[in-house]
Amino acid sequence: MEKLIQELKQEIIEALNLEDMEPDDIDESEQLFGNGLGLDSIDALELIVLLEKNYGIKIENPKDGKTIFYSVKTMAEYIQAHKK
Amino acid sequence: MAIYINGIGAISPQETKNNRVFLETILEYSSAYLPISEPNYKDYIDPKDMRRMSKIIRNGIAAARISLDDSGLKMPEAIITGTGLGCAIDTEKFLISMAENKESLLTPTNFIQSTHNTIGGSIAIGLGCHHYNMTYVHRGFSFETAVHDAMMMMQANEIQNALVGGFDEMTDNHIVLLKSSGDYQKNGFSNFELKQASCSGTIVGQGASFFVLEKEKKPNSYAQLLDIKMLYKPKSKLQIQETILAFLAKNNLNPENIDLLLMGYNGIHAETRIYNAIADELFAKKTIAWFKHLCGEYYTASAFGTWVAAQILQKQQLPESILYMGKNEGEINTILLYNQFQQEEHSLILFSKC
Repeated sequence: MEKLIQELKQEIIEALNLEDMEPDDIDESEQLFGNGLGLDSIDALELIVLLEKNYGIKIENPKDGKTIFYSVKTMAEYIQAHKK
Repeated sequence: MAIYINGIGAISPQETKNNRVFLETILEYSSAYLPISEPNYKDYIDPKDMRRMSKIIRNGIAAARISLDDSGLKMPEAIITGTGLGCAIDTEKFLISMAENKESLLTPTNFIQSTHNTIGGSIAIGLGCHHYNMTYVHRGFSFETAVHDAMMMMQANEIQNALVGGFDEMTDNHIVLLKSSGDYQKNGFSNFELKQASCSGTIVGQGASFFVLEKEKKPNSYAQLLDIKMLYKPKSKLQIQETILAFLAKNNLNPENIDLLLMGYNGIHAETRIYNAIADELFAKKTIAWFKHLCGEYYTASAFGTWVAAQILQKQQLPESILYMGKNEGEINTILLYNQFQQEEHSLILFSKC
């Protein structure tokens, strides 16, 4: 799980072009949207594509997004549970 | 009606971000195309807005910011831009991703940032400017059309000022296409060698140049923008010469009144022959300057030429690095910028000292 979280942080930094950020700068439990990392709706679309492209996971129900993308940790847990 | 250039901003392969100095240091390159001498983008763009922006967007916004700050204008009544390729790197990323992923799994950022009006739109969003916003994409006439639009709107009294710019970026893929034409130099060729008679072919460049145009003359005005003319695919050298003479006559001038002829010499022999013919047959013994060895050849290189003309007229300096022929002496009151792109789009822009 720890390895997956580190990989995911790196992928998020690259996909969202979070310049000047290192994986260690992201707290795995920190909120991705809103107050935490401050991501927005375009970033949400990028993360959806990232999940599908890198892990083969397609989010069928958009309502689940809020829970899945709450933090890096919740994303990693979802990936681990649904990775094909 | 008089139109003044009251603010200028250029991000180019040279050190041009500081308007107080004028080509004091000239950078030499021998890369496949001239890279941008990058400023510290954080000086001009909020870092949190910057992460999705490609280099051309950053360069365009930085050049626009420099010109606005230079003029003191807070909110332009129009933002008008010209570009030949638009945001080419993002366009390529989007298209490559589309091809590789069989038209699925497309990310939004490259698409959003790939449109030709991304820079004009981004400048407007940054300023909160809801006024006229237009981007022209007309190959070698892109910047000229933007200037023409601004001038017509001012002449019609629809606006009192406008932020006008031209920008283009180069990509590794596009340069392969360009070089297939045979008009471009091989890798390793220095931009300092472009003037040599033996050299045939030009160097690819890029850049972003913006200008604040206003109807009001101000203490910090750079130059007066007198007129602009575009000539598409002239049939002969004679037609070009007649067009230049008619253009000058329309502005109550003749070749004798031009103090400096600023031309787009770029190393392509076919174009050099035309430039030389214009110089010898219409402007004999006049001082001639050039600029494409500094910025390279690209669709909106005339915007960089406009930046050069504005600096010359305001500072009354003609750096040796841009002197092509003739003497560097005397007051410079009137400049004619004559540029051509791939021998198809020919443009004339007339400037005078304020």
